Amino acid sequence: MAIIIRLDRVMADRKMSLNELAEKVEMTNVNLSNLKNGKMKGIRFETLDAICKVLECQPGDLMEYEEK
Amino acid sequence: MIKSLEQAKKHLKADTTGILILMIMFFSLSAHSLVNAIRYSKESLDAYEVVLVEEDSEDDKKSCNYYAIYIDGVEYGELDYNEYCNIEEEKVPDYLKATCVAHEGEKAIQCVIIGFILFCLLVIFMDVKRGKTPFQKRSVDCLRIAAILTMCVNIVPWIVRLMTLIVCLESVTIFGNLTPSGLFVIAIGGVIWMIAEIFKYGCALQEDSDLIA
Repeated sequence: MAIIIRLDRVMADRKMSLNELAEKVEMTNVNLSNLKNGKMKGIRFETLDAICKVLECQPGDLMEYEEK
Repeated sequence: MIKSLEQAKKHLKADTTGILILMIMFFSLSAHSLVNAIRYSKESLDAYEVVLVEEDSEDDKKSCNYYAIYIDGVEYGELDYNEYCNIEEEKVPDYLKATCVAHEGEKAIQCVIIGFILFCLLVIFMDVKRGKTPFQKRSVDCLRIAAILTMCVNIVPWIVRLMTLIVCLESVTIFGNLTPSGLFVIAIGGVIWMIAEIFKYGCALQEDSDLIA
């Protein structure tokens, strides 16, 4: 897939751990880890909204499009 | 959507309770039949007799008479006269006793099997109640087990009855034919197996859906 998830970058900027973020967005660690590693097929707007709210960022900060 | 989910959860609670009550009922019935089987097995052969029961019918052309097995003067149930006629006279008391014990054993086994079918359904409902999706491997396995048990509801008790008669009479002509209701039960088992296959497809869809965060 050409969409690359940059969640780890934003988490590092905000100095937030995976466990902490998972707890705040009400997701399991496993799902959030899979999302961070680009193993997920998609993301719901609900989840995107929760992550942006907690990390105080834009949706565009979390993902990039890189055509291969 | 949240309202319908809440309603579904309420229905789920009621259904789970209903299944639990039914399951307990069937296991209790099974225990009751088992106790009866043990009681009848301890009765002496003299307690068993065949009596022709005459029933009054409004229509004189129709005869409602039938042969019944009596245990200590109390009617137990109707006798299969076709089977009874083929039994040698000296083996009749053993046959009557074996029939009653086997019948109770059949009922006990059927109730246990139905109890386990309900237990399989209960496992699925409990998983859903805990917030898990019904489309998982465990649900598919439970449905498959329920399907096999449904098919066995008539077959296993028939085998047990046959074994009981063989043990008591040492030799027995195999009786029993596949009645429409027996075929119907096997067909229901087949339907449940098909539903399990649909759930298996649902599992694949669920796996795909789980890849969306």
